[in-house]
Amino acid sequence: MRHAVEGAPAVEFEAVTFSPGTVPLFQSLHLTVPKAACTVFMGPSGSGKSTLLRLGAGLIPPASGQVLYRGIDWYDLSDHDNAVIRESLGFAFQNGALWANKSVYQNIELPYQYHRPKADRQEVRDAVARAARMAGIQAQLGQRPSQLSLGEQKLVSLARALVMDPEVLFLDDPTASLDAQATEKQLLLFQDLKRQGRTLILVTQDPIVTARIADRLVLMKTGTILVEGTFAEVTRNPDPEVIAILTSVLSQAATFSGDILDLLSIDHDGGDALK
Amino acid sequence: MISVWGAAAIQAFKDTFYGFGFFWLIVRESLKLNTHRGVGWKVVVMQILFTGVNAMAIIVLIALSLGAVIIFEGAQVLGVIGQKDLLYVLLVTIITRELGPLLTAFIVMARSGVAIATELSNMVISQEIEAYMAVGINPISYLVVPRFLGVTVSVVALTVLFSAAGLAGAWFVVQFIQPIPAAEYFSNLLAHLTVKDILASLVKSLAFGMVIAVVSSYHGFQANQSSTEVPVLVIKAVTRGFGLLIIFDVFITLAYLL
Repeated sequence: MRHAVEGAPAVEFEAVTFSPGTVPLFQSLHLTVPKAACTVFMGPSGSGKSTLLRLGAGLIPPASGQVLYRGIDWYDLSDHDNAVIRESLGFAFQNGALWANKSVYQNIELPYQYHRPKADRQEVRDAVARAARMAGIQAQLGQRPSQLSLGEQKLVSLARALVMDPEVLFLDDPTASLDAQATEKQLLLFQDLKRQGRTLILVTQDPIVTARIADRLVLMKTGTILVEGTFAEVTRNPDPEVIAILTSVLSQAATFSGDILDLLSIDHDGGDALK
Repeated sequence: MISVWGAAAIQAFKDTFYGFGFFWLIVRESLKLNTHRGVGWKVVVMQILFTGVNAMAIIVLIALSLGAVIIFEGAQVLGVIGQKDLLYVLLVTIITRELGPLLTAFIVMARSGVAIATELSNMVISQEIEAYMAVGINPISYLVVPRFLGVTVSVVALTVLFSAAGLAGAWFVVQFIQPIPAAEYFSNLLAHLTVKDILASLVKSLAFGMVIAVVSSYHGFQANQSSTEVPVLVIKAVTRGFGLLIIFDVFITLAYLL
């Protein structure tokens, strides 16, 4: 039985190459995602953020290189060890990726039942209720995924990711398609999880989410990491390419909320560069 | 032209290689079904219900029709040349050993093979397979193994049903057109039905069940990103499935005859 390496980063990408089709996306990519912190991947559409997240969670294999999760190579694990290691991981999908033939309750219940086969019915019910409460979907437990809006499906996906009380959470654009109240609730949840020492790895285009919870920001452009650092370091970066990408990523949000760039410039001097 | 053929041959070789690897993976996971945590048997039962129980009516209908036609036509034609006893050889050969298993497999491929390929490819596209992987559930053991076992058991059971309906049930149908005494019919039938015939039928149905489950699952998992891939993959699964069923049928028949 393989165990996570003590003190190892949450995820390490070592010389990772990946080609989704004939054109390579990542070529010899190196990146370390620290544990007990919130790392946000930002970048324009098609820059490879979601793919990087799926590579990090061991859902798709790299063409070459290594992806280490808490010091262990995903592809050096037996089926049994893989299943055990995944108890410590939650993944909330961009489109929800709910199992269409199961109810919302069953979607959240299955991972718990699988990893805790001896749990009695009450214990399973409690775990599902706790995860549903955290994601704010208690009212939808009896419904089928097809009856839910995309936003609700994403919340169910989040509840499914939370049901095992994971150490590491991979969140693919968790706040997209959510109303302001649900987004605020999620932000409070993420901040709470951060306080508990959990590792959050997020893909988002939302500057408010990034500004409020990111410990580290990784800015990407078509398969390359343009810059990484704290939020302040990245937004203060004078590189015109960085400014161009930040502007393009943030412009849509700025359309809806005129004070976003102000927010960035107030909190971080680099925000002025965006203007 | 030669380069096109060469590329097609290399691709066919790769597909065969991956197909065998996929089959081995399914067999390996099937042997571990009892050790899997909290999953499996319920899906096996559901698959048997869909593939086996729900297909019984169509199987019985085809078997009765085929059996009745062979008895009716056979009795007429063979009677003219004074070889009425050959009727039973024909019945056993066609219903039990040759067309029975193959027709059953074709029907299961058209119903369940299509359903499995469609369902799995849609699950790949909607990232449901990745969702299973993310929570630590092996999609082969959770999704494919129950379908593999369910389809295989169902094809064997349906083939037995086909033989029973085609041999015994058809006699009842023919009574309305051309009565044959029951004692004469069934004693002659049993005299011509050998253990070797029954074994050949069972071996075929077992192989056919595995072929259907593996081919349809394999093509289901070939989906990538777009829902437009689904019909293409399903058509591929059906055509390759039918082709492989015929190839396996020929080999098993040759083994029987040698």
